[in-house]
Amino acid sequence: MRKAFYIPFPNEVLPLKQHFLPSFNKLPPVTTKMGTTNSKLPPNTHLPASMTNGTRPFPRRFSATYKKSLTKILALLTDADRPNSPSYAISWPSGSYGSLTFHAGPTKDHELLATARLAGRLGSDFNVALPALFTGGEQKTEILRYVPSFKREMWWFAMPVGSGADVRIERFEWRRLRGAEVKGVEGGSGSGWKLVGRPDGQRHGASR
Amino acid sequence: MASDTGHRDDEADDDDGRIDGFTSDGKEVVAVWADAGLSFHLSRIGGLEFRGSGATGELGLLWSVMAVVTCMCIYQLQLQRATSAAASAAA
Repeated sequence: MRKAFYIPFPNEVLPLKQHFLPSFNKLPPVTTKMGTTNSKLPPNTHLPASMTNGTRPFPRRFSATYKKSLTKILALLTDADRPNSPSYAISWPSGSYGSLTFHAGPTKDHELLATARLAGRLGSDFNVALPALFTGGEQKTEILRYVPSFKREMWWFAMPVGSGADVRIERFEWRRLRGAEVKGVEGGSGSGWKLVGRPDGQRHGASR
Repeated sequence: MASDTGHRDDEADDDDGRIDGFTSDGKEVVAVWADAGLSFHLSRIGGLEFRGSGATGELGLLWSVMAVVTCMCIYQLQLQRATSAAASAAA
């Protein structure tokens, strides 16, 4: 584990520059590690057919609860439309300084969908190993990158989105919720994060 | 629970008060994570809600998986911060 009091030299926070470049819709400058062949998920890890054939649509809203035992942590994700039992689980088998795994059921023994492990010089990036979309498909690792800031720290990632001929790489940022936004969230306590995508009008083009 | 670092006091900041689905720099909000308050039953940690093109499925399943995982990554770092803040407060 990286030491908490590690202070980066200026040349080590260079990725910050990307934040200020007007290239939100383009491939980010750091591409060498994007979409590399992944080795942290077992080979042939793919989404279950139930998730891809429509019998088990991905939830639009999750409620998350927490279970902790000694060092192990488990977060249970319950689909707001199927509130009777949790549908997915996030497990931290060695606590909050270790890797996490995402499972297609309510225990850590259910089918593995993805893993994330801490990375980067500040220890606040994550390498996220994603499953293949289907049996025999390509498994990729994407990077969640931390941009430190006193007032508006954020994390961003870029990945292929869409389907068919419309696949393109887009960038997304997790930013802290502010002001009135917080009040618009059901069950919220007054703090949280929002994931923002590409600018208004660009996805929908002429239709706006 | 994750500590509040007081960012929301900055009223002049760009995204304040936008609830129409876009940030003031014109970007679409595709998902929101809200921390649960302590007044809820103790095991609840929060909720994740997909919005706009994040809710239609048009971004794809792998994107949805990525959104959930990265949300939990940030939650994990909040946990670390809360733990280390509690540890230094106790010291």
